[in-house]
Amino acid sequence: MSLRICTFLLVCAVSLLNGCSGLRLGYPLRPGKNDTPTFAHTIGRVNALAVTILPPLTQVWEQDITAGIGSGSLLLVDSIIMVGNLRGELYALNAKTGKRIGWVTLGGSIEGAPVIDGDLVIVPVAGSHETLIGYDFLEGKARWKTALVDIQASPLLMDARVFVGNVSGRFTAVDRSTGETVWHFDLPGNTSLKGIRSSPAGADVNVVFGADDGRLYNLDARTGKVRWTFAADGAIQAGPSIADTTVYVGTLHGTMYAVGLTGGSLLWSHASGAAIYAPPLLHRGGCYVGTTGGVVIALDQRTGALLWSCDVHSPINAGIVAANAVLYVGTLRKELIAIDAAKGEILWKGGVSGRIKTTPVVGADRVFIATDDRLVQAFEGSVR
Amino acid sequence: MKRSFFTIPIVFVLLTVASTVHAQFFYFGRNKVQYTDFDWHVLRTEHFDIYYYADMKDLAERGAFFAEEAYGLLQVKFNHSLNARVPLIFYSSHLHFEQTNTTGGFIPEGVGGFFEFLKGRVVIPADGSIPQFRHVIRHELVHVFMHSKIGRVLTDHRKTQDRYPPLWFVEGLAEFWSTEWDEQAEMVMRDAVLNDIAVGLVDMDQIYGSFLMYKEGQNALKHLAARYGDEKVLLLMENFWKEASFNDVFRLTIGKGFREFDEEWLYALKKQYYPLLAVSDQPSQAAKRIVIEGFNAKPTVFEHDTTREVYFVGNRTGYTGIYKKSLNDPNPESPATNIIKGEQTDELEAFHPLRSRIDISRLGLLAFVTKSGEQDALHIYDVVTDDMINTFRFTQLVSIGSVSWAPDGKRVAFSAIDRGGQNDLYILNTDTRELRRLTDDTYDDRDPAWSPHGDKIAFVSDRTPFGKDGAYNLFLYDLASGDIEYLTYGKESAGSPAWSHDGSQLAFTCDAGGVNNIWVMNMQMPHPAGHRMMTRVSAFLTSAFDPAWTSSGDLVFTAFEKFSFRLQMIPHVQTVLDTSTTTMVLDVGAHGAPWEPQSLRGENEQERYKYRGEYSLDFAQSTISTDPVFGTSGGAFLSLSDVLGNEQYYFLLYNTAETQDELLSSFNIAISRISLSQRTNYAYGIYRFTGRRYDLTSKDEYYYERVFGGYFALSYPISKFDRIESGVSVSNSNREVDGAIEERKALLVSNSLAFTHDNSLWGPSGPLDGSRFNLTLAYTSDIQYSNVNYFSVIADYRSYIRLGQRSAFASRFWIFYNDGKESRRFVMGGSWDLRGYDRWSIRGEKLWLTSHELRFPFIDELAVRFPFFGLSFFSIRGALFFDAGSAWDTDYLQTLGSVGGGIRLNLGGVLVLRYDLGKRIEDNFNRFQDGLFHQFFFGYDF
Repeated sequence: MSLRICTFLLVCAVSLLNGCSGLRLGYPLRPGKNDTPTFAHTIGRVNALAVTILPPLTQVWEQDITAGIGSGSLLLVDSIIMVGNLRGELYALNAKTGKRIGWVTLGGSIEGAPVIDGDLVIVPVAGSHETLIGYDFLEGKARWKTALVDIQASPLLMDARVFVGNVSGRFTAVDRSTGETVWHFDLPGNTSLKGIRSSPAGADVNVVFGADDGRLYNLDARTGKVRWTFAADGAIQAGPSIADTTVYVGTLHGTMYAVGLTGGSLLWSHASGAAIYAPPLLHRGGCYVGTTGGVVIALDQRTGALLWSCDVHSPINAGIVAANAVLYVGTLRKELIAIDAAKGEILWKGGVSGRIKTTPVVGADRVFIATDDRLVQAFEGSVR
Repeated sequence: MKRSFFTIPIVFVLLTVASTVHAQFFYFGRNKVQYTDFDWHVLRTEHFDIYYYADMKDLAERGAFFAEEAYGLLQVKFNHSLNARVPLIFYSSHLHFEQTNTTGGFIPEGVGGFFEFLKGRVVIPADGSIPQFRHVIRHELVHVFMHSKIGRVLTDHRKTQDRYPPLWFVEGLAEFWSTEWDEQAEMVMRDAVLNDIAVGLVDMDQIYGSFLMYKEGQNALKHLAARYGDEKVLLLMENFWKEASFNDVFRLTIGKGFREFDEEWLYALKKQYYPLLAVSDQPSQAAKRIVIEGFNAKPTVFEHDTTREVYFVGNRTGYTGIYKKSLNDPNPESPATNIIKGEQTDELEAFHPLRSRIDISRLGLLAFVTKSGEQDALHIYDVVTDDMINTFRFTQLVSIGSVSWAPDGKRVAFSAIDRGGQNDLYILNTDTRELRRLTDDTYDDRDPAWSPHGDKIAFVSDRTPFGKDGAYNLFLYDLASGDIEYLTYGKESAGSPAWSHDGSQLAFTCDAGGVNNIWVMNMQMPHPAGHRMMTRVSAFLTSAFDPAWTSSGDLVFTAFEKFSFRLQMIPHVQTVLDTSTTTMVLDVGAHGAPWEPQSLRGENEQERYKYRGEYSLDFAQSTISTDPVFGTSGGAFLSLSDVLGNEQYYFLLYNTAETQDELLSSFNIAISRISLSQRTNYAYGIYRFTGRRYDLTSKDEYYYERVFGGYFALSYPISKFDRIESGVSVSNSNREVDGAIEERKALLVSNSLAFTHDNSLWGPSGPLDGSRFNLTLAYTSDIQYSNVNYFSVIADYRSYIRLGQRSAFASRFWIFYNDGKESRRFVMGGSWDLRGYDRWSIRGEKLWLTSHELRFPFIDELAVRFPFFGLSFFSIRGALFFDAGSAWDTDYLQTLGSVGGGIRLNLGGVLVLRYDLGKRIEDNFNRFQDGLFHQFFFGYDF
């Protein structure tokens, strides 16, 4: 009897010490076609989904996840929303109801989006010693942890490897299963502690990312060797997007670039006039991006010609998501805005309770956003 | 220096015991006078609530435009938006700004605006210059954004809001993101680096709060952005949650802590500025020194027979005034003579040493400007007879700038800011008092200089396309036609024109080359139409200001060097002109149209209405305390005020019950309202207090008292230095004294009337100059039971005779007199009054005290350095004192006294520690005590 009591008390104590937390699903997640298991939906960061959700939207639920939320997107896989907060806690929410399924503390702060791969969720962390964690949500524990210095970007999972850069200017490839470093690359001549806060995008053997030193890098995914670099006009904090054989990226000086994936040659550039923090959305021949100047611009993917410009009167530093013909973007003015992708007209504007600094996610008939008053919110529109 | 009216909440509590005894401790202080009845309105824009008064409507609309413009820029820079609307409170001049109740303290001349955390208010004065108004708005909004950003970063990461970036970063960022690096910043940094005054980030506490700190902070961020990338500045804030120390945040953001950064940054500054020594000089090395000690500015020269004197605005004692010195005196260290003492009387309340030039006519009439009551006043002083001849005040003009005599000695030209905030040129006829306005527009017209021929006035103005960025150009106003002619045209900024005695040359300052130097324009030399030429006379590394000619062609001017302002002279300027190779030819013919300041209009304005009072919570606190004598008490305190700080409400609620059945009867409540919006401040309130008390004025008497009542108090400031106060309270008091048979009941009515004077100047541990005086008369009577009936007289006089820069002889005289039924006792004894005796051990209904103290600097710096840290103490002061006094009820017993010495140490401006050692004079002044007494306590000198 006394042993049972001791065990019971021990379990209680451990639970208390863990803050009554735990994230264990007990089953592997099966990503659907319209799920978002990684930042911006695909490894190319295209972020356009073939679902139709028409405005006006109405909120169906919200959930407080107790700390701010970084710029990486929420993840939506198999009707589960997975989101990390800036207190280093990873939450799983029921996408239909918003109820908490569980949560776990993994580090100091989760700034970028994790990536879900079967039974593993790979989480980038800042402010703690281990900064890339492979968390097994079947077992409910970390399978591996790797110390890579603070990571503020969203990792790329491609061909069983995880690629990500850190704030000290090192870009690393680790083995998906073990977390062991396969190769790493350091920004050359980095005497100013230029970091890598740009989330990498991938295509074939290309891993492409930007850096605070103002360069766009294409590394060979297999070896880490430099395929090419491209010098932009300013620091690159936004992640690139890749479609066909072109890389698209924006800089903090506000210039959008289209660069050839193979050789790194400039195809076109467009000066938007204000900093760009998020990867562009590539959709139906258009390259769409929001700027801190309060404008969403649409450029022709091939030529860079300005198709339209939509003034939303507020800085945008999160990415845009497309649900077929409708673009959804969040602003610092606490608005979720629906824009006609073809014409650039505002179809609908909804006020929310906090600034939107996280790229929205579309799926399961819903639009999901995160606001800086610690809320994840789900909105419903009409679906065909 | 605290405002007097903050004593009201304390006084009202003390009045509840119907006694003036405790008022012996709290009654001095200067007055913040609300001279002006502002007609407040509110203009709501997309992000701001702008409070302005009707006179300055146009300026407020411009400010609203600048605020929205700044918001748009800053939300991009900070990658952040504000959650709440920002209250902006505008004033059209600095003198109006000094009347604000949004802060309790006095606002010095150099404060250009502030952002306060309590209500998130931004309070900004205009000064006649619209570009400067825009700069200050943007500067303060950087503070607002930074405060919000830092708060958001900490909140997002669930960190406590217990840290903030250091002041050099806060102010440096505000400058870095609101303005360009200009000639003033360049002047300060050059001077600091070349004179070894510059400190690194590690040592910023040495220049804490100074203008140098602002500029060093701005420069450090400029260097950081250039060397490490613009994005690092924002990253410093976004990384703020990661480390408790900003040095560590710095290190993880750029890879270097403060020390390593300092090595690189300070070295870069030396590399930048040291080469300038090859082509320029410090003013002290290249010009004759006239006055170097203290602050010296705005010189003007008077020559009469063989006398050659320079008159100037100076400060070497803490009070600004007018000084003079002979130009024939070869010794620059010999003292100047203070002929007009300022800042101690109502009439000469404050000078504007960096703004208003003075001028002296050929007959020796000195024209100068001071604050005098609600506005500035123009004074005429005869330096030959040492008499103040006249003083002029203009109800429609608030601030007066530089003055210039006409050659006829009867008219004076000056610039002035009107109630709407416009700075224009005026002419006053001192005989007829007629005032003529020369310009009337939004441009900032300054520094008039009347030509010796009397037909033109040179002045500077921002009425060019370059004025938008704050550049001033030189103009000539034709008095006959009213035409304005361009003398300079370009982005180089000019100032302080001065005519030579024959009218052939016009000297002025110009920042062409990076800092202000003196240039001369030959007004008689023929020049191609539409062109002017100017020749540089000085090539100083730092700056020169306010040139003034002598009759023999020398130029006296203000030089900035070693972070001080000195008077120097360039002799025989013509010789310099003949050999100078630095000239500029200016094309003034093809000048563009002046810039038009933009204003908020139409769709950007959301609402406009008359201000009726908008209140919010200032402070809320609950406490619980326990004491072995009085038991446990707990309660809460709340205060509210309106956004302008004019109306304040205080609520106090606590309970002192010792048992459950005492709960209801032991509630203590007090509610007060204080109104500061008008010149006469008033307060009133009601209260109920109950509980056990200890009367320290009696023989260790404990009692239980229930008292309820109300009070009303008035304070009327006669000037900044003098005020009259009165108060009345009515309270019902039931007192049960321990051991007494009957309860003492009383319905007490107390009346008091007081006069207070305070123009003291404070040093690190107490006043060093000026005087303070209080006379209080009071009468307290029990109008129902006749148990109490006494009158009170309190007379407290303190004078401080300045012996040197940091030394003074201080004297104090007290007479405290209570007489009548149940008249209260006064208390004395301890480090604050009669030293050598136990604190408050001397008690009596009548009391007198005299203290005399020699105050002097003792140890300027005491530093101890251990291997891993160091301790430094500054300004340890010494005192030698003599105290004498006594207290009695009916029979005078003996006179007590003490002599001794002590030391004082001011800790961070918050607390003064004091230690005294000496001998009591006992036995009615017949003998000294055996041994020594010593007392350690805290508190400022009397």
